[in-house]
Amino acid sequence: MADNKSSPSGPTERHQDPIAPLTFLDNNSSAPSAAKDQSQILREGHITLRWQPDPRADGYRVIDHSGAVIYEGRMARGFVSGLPDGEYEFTAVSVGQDLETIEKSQEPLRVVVQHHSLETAGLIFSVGALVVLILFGVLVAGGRRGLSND
Amino acid sequence: MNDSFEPVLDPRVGYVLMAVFGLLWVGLGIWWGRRAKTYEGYAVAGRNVGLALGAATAVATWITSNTTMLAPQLALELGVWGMLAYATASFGLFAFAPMASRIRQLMPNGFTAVEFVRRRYGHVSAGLFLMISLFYAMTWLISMAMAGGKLLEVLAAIPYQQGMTVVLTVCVLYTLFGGLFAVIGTDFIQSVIIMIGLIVVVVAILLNINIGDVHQNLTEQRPMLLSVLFPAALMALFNNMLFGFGEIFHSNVWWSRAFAMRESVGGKAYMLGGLLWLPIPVLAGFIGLAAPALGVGISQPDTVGPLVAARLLGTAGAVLVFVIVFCSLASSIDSLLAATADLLAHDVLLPAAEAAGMQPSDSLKRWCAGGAVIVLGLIAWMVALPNISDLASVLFFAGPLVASCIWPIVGGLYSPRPGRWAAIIAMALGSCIGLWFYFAIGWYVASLTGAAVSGLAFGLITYFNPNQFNFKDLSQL
Repeated sequence: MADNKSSPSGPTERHQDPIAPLTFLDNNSSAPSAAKDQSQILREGHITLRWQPDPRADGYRVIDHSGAVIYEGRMARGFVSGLPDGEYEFTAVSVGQDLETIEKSQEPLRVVVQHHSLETAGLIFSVGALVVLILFGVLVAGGRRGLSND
Repeated sequence: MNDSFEPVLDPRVGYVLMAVFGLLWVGLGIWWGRRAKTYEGYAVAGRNVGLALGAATAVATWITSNTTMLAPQLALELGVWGMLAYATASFGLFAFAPMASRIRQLMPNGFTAVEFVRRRYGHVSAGLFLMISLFYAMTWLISMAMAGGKLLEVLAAIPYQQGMTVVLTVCVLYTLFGGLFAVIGTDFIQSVIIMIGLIVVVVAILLNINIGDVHQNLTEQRPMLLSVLFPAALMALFNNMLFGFGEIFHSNVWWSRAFAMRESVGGKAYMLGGLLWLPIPVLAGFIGLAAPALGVGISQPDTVGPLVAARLLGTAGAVLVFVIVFCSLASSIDSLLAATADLLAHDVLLPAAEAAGMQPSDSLKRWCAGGAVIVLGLIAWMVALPNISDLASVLFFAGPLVASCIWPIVGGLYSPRPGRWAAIIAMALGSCIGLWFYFAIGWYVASLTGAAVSGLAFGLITYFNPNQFNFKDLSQL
């Protein structure tokens, strides 16, 4: 979800505007995430949050829309998982040695969790069980007849 | 300063540990290398490995950094089902136990899995199988190298590039000098260290954790991890099992051991190895699930296992965890290097030399295998250097490819009816359709669909176009 608006606007402009500290980044690049304008949809209920580091920070926290701290550590990335269906909002906070707040994200990251349907999961589960059962049957039958096929 | 802001081990201690164990493994590799003068000694350890070494190498090879790092990651991503899904990889060892005996019986002078496919199904099948094998082996090797770098950075703040380079270099050196003798010998030592260390770590963690707190934390903040109706996790269960089957059934890592063990040993060694391995990912997964309740900041889910263990147990525990994971990395990287180098030497370089009219001497074969170890290590280093992805996405991309090999291998070992077209189409269709599902839905269905499509194709073509293969052709030199 790279932010296409961050491209240079003319042939004479060869630099990009610096990314503000604590701006959430796209997971596969260092471009700012576009999720401030549209929500990401998560199918497995987990996401790795990455943000632009704050040079003043000794560590970071991530808080959700309810104010709960869901990450606290020294890396500028945090992993959240196990979320049920619903909409979520995350804010990154840089903190000092004594956990005092230095700065917060200017824009929170919004995500929507929408798990696969149970019908789809049940179908895949059943197919898998069938394949494994057949495989075990072939192994057992093959082991018993193996010598006779030589 | 909040503990979660500091590395758990002093970087100087980390560097010392790397140096001590690095020198130990390289020294052992040189020492054991005295027995690996011939190609047969270098590639299959003289075909005389006993039960203790056989079981130890099975356990050590399968206890990869994935076991200590990916199992907790799956637990954090997919909950209890994810943890159990990872543990089903032990079923692959159980299933391979009778196959190992069958392989040894049918090919008493064999060297590689590709050799089996070539003799059983022909050159086209072997070429396709070789591509899949090499892709999987390199994917696994790179993921191990990345794991080494990540671990050392998380535990001791050793820069990723430095840690990854040291781990890979040590493994390349002792594998280069000692071949499969060195690999299996160091596996035995590493497996003892890993097993004892894990027992100590798990007991210590269980004494420090309140299970009720863990459950409450997960219920409040990550409820889906405890749900039995977690859709992605349900899809992952048999997917992971079939991925494990595909990994073990096709990979020359396991075939080379089957060739290396004495004829009556292989089945028992793999069964014992599977039993010893089974509880380990469950324990590692539990550690991952406990991380949120312990206030451990999770930045990268694939490092949470070692990080939690190290934080709970203090400096001594951190040293122990560092040693355990370093051993598990080395025991897998060396196996991959040795087995994949054998593939390149035996099934690519030497046939090319013979096609050019050369008669490769035993010494040349030995040097080809050694050269392949260096090349493989170099490629893995270059790809792992930028650290662009996490372990699961790197490794599971190979899932549908290896799962598509299950039926050609099993069918080829036990039935004379499958022919080359059954094998070729099964591998090709299974890989392509499995990869489509990988991108369309996710990694947690890719191996399953690859195996299902491959099985269907293999069965139908065998039914309508049966052969009558003579198994005695497999044992001819």
